[in-house]
Amino acid sequence: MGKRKWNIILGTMILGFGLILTGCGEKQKKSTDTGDQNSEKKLTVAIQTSSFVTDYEDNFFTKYLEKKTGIDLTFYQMPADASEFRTKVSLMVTNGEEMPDVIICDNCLTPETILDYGSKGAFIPLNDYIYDEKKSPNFNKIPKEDQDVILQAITNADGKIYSLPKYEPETWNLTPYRMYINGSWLKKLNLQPPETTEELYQVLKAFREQDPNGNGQNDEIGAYGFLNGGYGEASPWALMNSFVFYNGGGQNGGLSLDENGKVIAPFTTEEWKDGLRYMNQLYEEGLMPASVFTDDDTQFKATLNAETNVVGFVSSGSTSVWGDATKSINFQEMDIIKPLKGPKGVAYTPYSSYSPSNAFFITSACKDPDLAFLLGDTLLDNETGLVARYGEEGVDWSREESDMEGNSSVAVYSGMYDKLSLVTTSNLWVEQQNQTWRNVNPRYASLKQGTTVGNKLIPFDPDSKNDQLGLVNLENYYPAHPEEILPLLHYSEEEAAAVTQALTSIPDYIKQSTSEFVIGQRNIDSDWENYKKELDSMGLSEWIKNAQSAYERMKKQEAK
Amino acid sequence: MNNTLKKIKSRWQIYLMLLVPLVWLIIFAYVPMGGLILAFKKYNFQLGIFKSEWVGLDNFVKFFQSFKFPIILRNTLTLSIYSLLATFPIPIIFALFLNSMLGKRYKKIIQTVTYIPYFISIVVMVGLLFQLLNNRIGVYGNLYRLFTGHSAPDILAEGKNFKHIYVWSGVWQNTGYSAIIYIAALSGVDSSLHEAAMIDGASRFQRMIHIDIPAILPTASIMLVLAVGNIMNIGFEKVLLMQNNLNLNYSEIISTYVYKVGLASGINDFSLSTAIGLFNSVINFVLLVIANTTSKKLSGNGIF
Amino acid sequence: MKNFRNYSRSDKMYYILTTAFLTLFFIIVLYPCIFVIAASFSSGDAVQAGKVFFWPVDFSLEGYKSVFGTKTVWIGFRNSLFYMVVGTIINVCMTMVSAYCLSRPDVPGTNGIMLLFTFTMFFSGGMIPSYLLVQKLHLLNTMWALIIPGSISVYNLIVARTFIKSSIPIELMEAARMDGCSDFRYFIKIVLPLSKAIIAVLVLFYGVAHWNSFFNAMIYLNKRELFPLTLFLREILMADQIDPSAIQDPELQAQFAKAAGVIKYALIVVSLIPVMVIYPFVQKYFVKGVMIGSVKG
Repeated sequence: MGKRKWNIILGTMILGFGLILTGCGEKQKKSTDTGDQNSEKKLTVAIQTSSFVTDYEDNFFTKYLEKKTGIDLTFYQMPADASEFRTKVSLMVTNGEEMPDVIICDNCLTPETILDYGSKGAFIPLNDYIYDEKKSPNFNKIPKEDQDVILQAITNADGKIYSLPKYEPETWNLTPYRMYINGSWLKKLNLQPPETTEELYQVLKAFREQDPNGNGQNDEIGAYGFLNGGYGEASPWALMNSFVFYNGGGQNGGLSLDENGKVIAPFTTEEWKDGLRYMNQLYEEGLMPASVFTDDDTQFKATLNAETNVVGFVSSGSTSVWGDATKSINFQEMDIIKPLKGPKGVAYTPYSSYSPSNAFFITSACKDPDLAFLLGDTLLDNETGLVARYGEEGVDWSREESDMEGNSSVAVYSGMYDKLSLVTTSNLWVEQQNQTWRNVNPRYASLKQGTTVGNKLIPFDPDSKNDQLGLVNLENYYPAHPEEILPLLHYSEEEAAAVTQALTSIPDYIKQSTSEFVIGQRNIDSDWENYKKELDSMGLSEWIKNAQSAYERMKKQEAK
Repeated sequence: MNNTLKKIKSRWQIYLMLLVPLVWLIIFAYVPMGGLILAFKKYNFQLGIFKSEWVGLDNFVKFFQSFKFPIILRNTLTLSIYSLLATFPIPIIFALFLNSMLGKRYKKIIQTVTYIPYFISIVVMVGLLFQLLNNRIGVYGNLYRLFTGHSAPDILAEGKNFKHIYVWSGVWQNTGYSAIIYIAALSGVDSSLHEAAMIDGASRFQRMIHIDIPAILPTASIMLVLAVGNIMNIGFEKVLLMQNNLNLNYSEIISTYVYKVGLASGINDFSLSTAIGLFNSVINFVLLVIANTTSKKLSGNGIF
Repeated sequence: MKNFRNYSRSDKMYYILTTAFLTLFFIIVLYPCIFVIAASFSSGDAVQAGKVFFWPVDFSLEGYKSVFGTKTVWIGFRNSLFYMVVGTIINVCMTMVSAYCLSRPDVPGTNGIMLLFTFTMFFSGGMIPSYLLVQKLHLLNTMWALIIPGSISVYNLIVARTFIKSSIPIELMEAARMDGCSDFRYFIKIVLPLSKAIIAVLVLFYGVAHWNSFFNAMIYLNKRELFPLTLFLREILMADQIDPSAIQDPELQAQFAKAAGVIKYALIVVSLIPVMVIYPFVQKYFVKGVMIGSVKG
């Protein structure tokens, strides 16, 4: 092996240790440097990164902000994955002095986490800034109605505000459980699109018995979907809404309000039982397969895109599950239908109220919170918001009449609003770019602003299937929910401790037990009491009680 | 005592060489170990680890009393033990066969290919597994229909199948890589031993039993001791990916449960996860000591 | 192989059976490799639809374009290479030195020290104390945070020690001592050359571990200039799994999802590169007869 080789290695080791020491020295030097330059306006911003953004420092939006505010921004690049981001933040708060000045993320921190960090001093309260018109001109320009929704969302259980919002409501995403029926099969069998659960049952039966895909095999699936889907593909929930309103479990763990404004658990009601019975009947008669409850995303898409279409009914929020929908034969066969009416006339769709997310935090390590807040408030300015989301005016989007001519959007075409506010002119969102931060920033855009944006590259076409979907959604799905909806709840520390067990176990348990009831592994009638008992042992009544008090407290805060 | 002191003095070079590793060990392994105390505290990051409130065994009680504790403990142990029984011997057998194989080129190819699946990310492996086992369009479904003419039963929907699918897919993925150590050990076997045995008329099989196996016995016993000491560390990511709504009763294990607890409120409950980690570690360590002592008694090989 | 016909019957059976077993295993295990390669060269739609089984469907370099076209990925490559090389050198040095010292049955206290090491495999304070330690040592956001804390893997140490103990007989050392060889020289001149196989194994294990590690990088690093490849790959994968509800336009959602799906397969192939490169070198040492000459001498 030779002495030389070992000498080299030993040498490397010594060199290595030497480098550590210099590394230490350098680090210390750097910190004294920043100490000397507090005359210049600087901020460190920890931002959740995206692989599409090639450079945060040499970035159009960064330069735009630096010019507008006079602040020099340096970045901590944080993990793109939400749970990794949370882990990193939880480590960063362990040493208060070394935190970045500002943290920006895309809906990563839950209300409980924010309350925890805020009440323990890692984030500073922003109430004084927000309520002072001079310090937050842009926040105070927000129309009162929107401001109320925002304040309700960013005010924590202790009455303090620790974040700035990202508020961009629109109509497409609040109701993702859009249902499709196989239109070409309907035509073949001379049937009408179903409007009630009973009609759906009849149609599914016909699909299963009469071989509408014409290949001589009984391979048609009646009702399909996949329960673990994250964007409307959990068709059992879509169907359940013809019996009782259930938001799919994503918000507040599925809790909702009854007619008297009291918090209830829809999955313990008699109507829920009816929904289970309906789906159990579908399963028993071979109209809904067990794979709805076990498939993963890939299996789901594989089935949807089989060589010969086998799907009769499915729900999905995005047409991307059919790949390139415009080219997908299977997708072209599917027609969107309105929410189905159940036997008692209920025709809802899972709907979660829009809740602005918490996007911007100022940490206790920030030596100039006024400056940090200036940055945050600037991001809430209308013009800045347009750049943040759409990119560079004249390059990525335009307000010129000539560019907007002949174009429209779902909301404009349906008459909700008069005209477009702007059109996008580039493929900013699907390309690598250094124009924006990909909209990972606080922002305010009214419903009108968000829904009056056209696309110059793919102009609105009322005859195209995609745009038709938007129209049907706006008219039939968007309003299909009870008037009073439970907003995203903010628990106090004690409440949070009391409900953790339930919040962890119950939503999954609902998925699991629904699967078991529908397949017949558990009997809906004889096992119902057991089921309710198990929910109680997981802390259901505690949960509802605490949810009720949190809800009432939030209503009081709003009234203030 | 004098003898020992003499020995220490004469072996001073050894102790000097051990200095850097030991210093590293103390700084990077033992100093942070103090954080284990979090298991007995209610962690408040503002106060730090040492000033946080002492709550004694509360975290453990919370864990044991949680709704699903008996089930998840049962699942964890079933998967671990089954895994150990299946994944321990197979790489050894594989290494023995491979080592005795004729045809150098073919041998090298097999060796290289079999260890690649280890590097395929678990997300992809599980996705692939589901694709193959799909009872409608997967290889499993197609073959079944080919041979019986009927639609295949959905094996992924049956919770009881979970452990078999989990364990054997582990064998599929990890055997090649786990065998590397044994292959390396077998390569150190003096071929003159084999020559002598052949002259004595031993068959290849006999040679394997009397030469190869004793050669890897020390390695194998240590690996077994280590595997036993890892029993409670059953893979978290893979189980999480393989869970579905119909097999949760069989697939929920300690680590996936703890993960979900942290997920719900978004707050990382470090105290609880440290407590559970400590619980796992104590069990693992006790098992390791037992295995180590047994191994030393039976084969003279042990870790310490 | 040439003399196969001359082998005894029982030997023939042995070879046939073992080769059959190995071949069967080989085919079963070959499949995922073929699948991954096929999928990485298929179009996103085909992969998503589960159409890929043995060969690429709708041949496309989409996945590779997304990975290699991401400008930031090259920084990751460079960094990972550095961490892997420097890290592995330190790892192997520290581990072999410790393994040798602790393999000596004539040195008092080795069992106790082994216990000290082994104990740390089981009991660890967790993320927070480690993070605070790294912070206090001013290693945060430096490359050393990825190399020093993990200098020795006790598991690998145990394996190396076992190897040294069982393949290098103590008589060799006694003979050397009588010739006036010091412990240190014995290590350098005799033990190391005889341990080529285990050093190769260590290089493989540590090298691979460095190339694929991401957790420590995720918590200790803040600047993309220092990120290893794995962090960039995770970024890409995340972008791939973007929450469709973040985009309101159905057209845009569809466009997005297209880029998805294929990337993970291209990523795997990419992450396998160094492994495939190192392994043939390492494999050389897994050859019989390394010990020959030493014992006889």
